[in-house]
Amino acid sequence: MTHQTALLSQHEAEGGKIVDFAGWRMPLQYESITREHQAVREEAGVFDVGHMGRFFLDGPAAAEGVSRLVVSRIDDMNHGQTRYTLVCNEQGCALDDILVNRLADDQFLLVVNASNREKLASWFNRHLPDAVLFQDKTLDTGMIAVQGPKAEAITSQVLDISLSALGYYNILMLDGGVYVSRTGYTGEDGFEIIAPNDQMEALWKAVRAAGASPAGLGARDSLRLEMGFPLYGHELSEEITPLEAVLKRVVHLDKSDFIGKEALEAQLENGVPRKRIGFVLTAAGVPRQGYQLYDGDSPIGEVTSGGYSTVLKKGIGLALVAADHVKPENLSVDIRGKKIPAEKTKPPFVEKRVKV
Amino acid sequence: MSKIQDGLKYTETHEWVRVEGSVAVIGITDHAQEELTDIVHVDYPIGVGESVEKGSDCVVIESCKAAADLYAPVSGKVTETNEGLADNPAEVNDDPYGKGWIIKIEMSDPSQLDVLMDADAYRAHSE
Repeated sequence: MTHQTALLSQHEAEGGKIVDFAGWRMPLQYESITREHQAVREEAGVFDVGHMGRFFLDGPAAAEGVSRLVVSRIDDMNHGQTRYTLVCNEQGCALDDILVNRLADDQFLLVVNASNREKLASWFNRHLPDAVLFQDKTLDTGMIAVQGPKAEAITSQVLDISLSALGYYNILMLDGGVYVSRTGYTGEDGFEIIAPNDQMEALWKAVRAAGASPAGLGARDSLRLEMGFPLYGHELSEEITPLEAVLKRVVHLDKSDFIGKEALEAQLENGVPRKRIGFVLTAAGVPRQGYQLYDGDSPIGEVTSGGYSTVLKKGIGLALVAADHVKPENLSVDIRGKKIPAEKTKPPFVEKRVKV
Repeated sequence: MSKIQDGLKYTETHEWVRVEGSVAVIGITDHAQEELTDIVHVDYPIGVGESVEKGSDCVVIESCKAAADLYAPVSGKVTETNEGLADNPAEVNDDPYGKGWIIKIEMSDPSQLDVLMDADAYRAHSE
């Protein structure tokens, strides 16, 4: 079954090109991906991210229950704090990368990828203690992301509150089931707002009127790629561990037991076989997922995400390469049979400007 | 609604051809550039002076979204590639029938044009 957010008719009215994405009718772009990308980097853009899953967990056993299912510590999170983490299977491979928001001692809001929502809902239902109330409110609520240098002014105006004191990766609960967090997927300062479906259209219109340009999934992808942020299905999958994705900083192996811990400890001890790297092409071309990388004549791995940086005006990408080639001397990407030279580059490819 | 220009020949794979004497000037249609989204790079694996066969993929057009092949609508020798696109590939989006032309081919068999569609036929094909 195909879902739609409360904003679909809004996107159609604004000339959005609608595509099927992870079972949702979503705008890929409005007028131009490049211009939407630039608007976010230079001013502000608004994205409909209503397809992302929103899980509410409630109950005295919630913190413990979440902690067993994610690779990061939960017990040290303050109320109103947001944390990026991963859900792994017993093999230590990624079932999803998610944001955990601690709303209260025993209340959590988890934001998960649209493509993994149903899989994760059954995983959580299977593994959470019975005492935890689990509610998937994705279909009852909407979510937008306001991103860019003007995001604070716009979001403050629309919600009629001052957001200057809200720190990066923090969330505020407002009246009427509205949540605003200082998060995003663009590398710019910005906010994500969750609200009941019946408020979404007014919210979208208000954000648009306050000066944010509509931006689609195309710009969302090109913006995250410039930051080198992993995307599930590319840098992460059920065949890739967080250690291979170079997300060791979020894997807290010193915390109490969690699903996947033993496998990750074993991988760390035996050596992580592959590592994620970033690269920039030094000649013209656009790398794409699945293209081969070479160090000299040796094939060393594959592009997991590739594209064109509108800021650098160069092809950029992320790749998974053999651990003994993480420092390639003579890196190239095979683009349709031609080896295009590249340079290993530590992301972000473009300066990150989130509020720290 | 995408634009279709009268007086050109069209392929089913959304290329257009403008005949200038024995040379075919080739580009992609407005519909094609809309489908591809923002063009970021045009790659010419076949250089000036080389021969191409009708139906072969002779240019790669890279957009934000994907890489797409341009298929030669006619056989012949490449006489010119659009060097302006190296710095400004977005001309394919902004002016697909003008500054955004892609390749010129000196036709070896101009009768190959006969099977291409005219503007009206392409309009019907695209609907």
